[in-house]
Amino acid sequence: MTSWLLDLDYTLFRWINGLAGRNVLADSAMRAFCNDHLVPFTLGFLALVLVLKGRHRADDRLNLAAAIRIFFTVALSAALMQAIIVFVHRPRPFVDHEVNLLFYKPVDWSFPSNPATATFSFFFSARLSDRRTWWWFFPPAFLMSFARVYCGVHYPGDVLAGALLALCSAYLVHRLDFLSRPFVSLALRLESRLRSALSMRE
Amino acid sequence: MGEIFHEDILETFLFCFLASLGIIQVAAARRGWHGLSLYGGRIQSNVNNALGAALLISSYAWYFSDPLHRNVRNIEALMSMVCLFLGILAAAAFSMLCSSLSESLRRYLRVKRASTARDKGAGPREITLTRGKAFLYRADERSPHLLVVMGEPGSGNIGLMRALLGRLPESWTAAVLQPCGFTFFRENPDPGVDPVCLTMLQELEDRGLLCPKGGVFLGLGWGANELLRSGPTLEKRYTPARMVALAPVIPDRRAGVLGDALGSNTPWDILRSISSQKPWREGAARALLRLWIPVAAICMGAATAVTVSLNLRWSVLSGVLGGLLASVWVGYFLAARRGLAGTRPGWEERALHRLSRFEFPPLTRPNAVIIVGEDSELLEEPSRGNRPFGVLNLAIWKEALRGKFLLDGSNLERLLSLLASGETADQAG
Repeated sequence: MTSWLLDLDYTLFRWINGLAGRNVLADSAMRAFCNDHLVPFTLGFLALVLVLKGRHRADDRLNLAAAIRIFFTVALSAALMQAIIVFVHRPRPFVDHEVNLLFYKPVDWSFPSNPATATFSFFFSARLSDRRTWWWFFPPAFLMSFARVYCGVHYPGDVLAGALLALCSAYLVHRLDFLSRPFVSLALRLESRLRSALSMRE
Repeated sequence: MGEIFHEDILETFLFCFLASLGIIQVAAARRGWHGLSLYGGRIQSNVNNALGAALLISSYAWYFSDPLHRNVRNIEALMSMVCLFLGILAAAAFSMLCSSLSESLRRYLRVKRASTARDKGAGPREITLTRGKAFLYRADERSPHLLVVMGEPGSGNIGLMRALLGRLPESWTAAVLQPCGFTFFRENPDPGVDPVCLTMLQELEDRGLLCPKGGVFLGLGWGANELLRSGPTLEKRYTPARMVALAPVIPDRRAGVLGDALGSNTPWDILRSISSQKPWREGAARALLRLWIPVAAICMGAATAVTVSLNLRWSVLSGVLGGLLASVWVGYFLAARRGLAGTRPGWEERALHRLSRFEFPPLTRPNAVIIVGEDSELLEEPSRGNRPFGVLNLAIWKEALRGKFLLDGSNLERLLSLLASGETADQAG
């Protein structure tokens, strides 16, 4: 079973990575999305936009709580990923196979994909918190994950595991409310004290 | 495997700072948050939007134009997140600082101009009362008209008062009441105690400094709520010629919020106002601090011991910060067990609850309640349940902003004509 899954994973990897090197524009775009900074920082800024995007103070309070839960989801998924890395040591595709490598050679283990875990943590947490703008977080997360396989630094299975890990973390953070409740409560209290109708101050 | 590792913490921080600053400026334009606008003053959406877009685009272009930030192993994930977090915090702090500084400079210049003008004429006479201060303008002259202004607690609306009194006709005298706090917001208000404005007026009368009978009464902001609350007593005691409540605070019952201070206050104003309320002296706050300080010390000590023993990067700093976060978490649940957190209503909830319970009594003398644009939708939406002024004469100034911009443009003229003759445009249900 495991070897069948690994074969399937490698077949998918070859199919996606085989697309690299055929079109200069596509390769440049994938290199950009594969970048360690572009998508993660953009998602961070989207979280800031999420906090500020409301129309009223009531919206702001919900968005502030959503942003705090995103932070906790990212932290929890990173902790779970570190725990998995202690036990699972899967080498990068370029170590064992001939690949079209469009990116530098990362030195850490391949499974689960660190960028996929982080970016999908933003997406799933936003999905569980916010019913209107969660989809903003999907394109960057998907494109970065796809680009990591396209550029030859991750197997599709690594990316899928990262996304599943992110989903579990987001679910846990939203289900186990006590994890984030103290911080949400403190933030909302501060917001209330600072913004409540000091109407005529000069 | 040859590893090339470049670390640009400073550049990454700067990128996060500039991009966040851009986003904050666009948000300030969209929401009219004067308190987060870099140049202070009234928000000019186009300027803020252009500034925000320029900052955002140029920060991305600058950062990713460097090859070291593209296809090279650079700053590690945790440090990226730290840079992002600190960048956002720094951008918010910078916006607040700039807005506060520019507004302070404006205020300084305004006060300087006003004091030069005052040197030529007579200034107000300041009277210290048991529950606040009163300022008497042209009190020694015998004038046929008297204006009594009920301000907000503290020195909040001095600028508005100055603008109003500077344009008051020669035939008017004025008394401005500046209470040090309203009984309404005490944790346990004593129902037997008079509203503070009545006590202050009585004291002025007893000392022979003012005879408010037949005067025009004006309330500003929270002072307007106080004026309406004590309306029947004022009518009985002083038979006012007219009562005008300008921009009373209206609760949004559905959302459970009371206004938005960022619309017309700089963060410095807000901090000053809160420090004058001294919330840390409240019993609950003291009990919370007594509980949290030892918890924080233990958590920070334990976390630092762990980070040092594991030889983590920046072990002391990460230990202290980690311990601080843990102390908030542990402290919250300890406080909740003692009934100090989680269930206790805060200042806003208490004020909202009291405002929601209160129905303004009908008045027999001429009166007007002026609602500013941002509050008008609270009255228009029946689901928000706000018709507290149903029996009073309501006027809506759609384009007026709450706070320091209240009397901008033609609003001052409209208010003066309303005070003098009772005429106002925009009468609404």
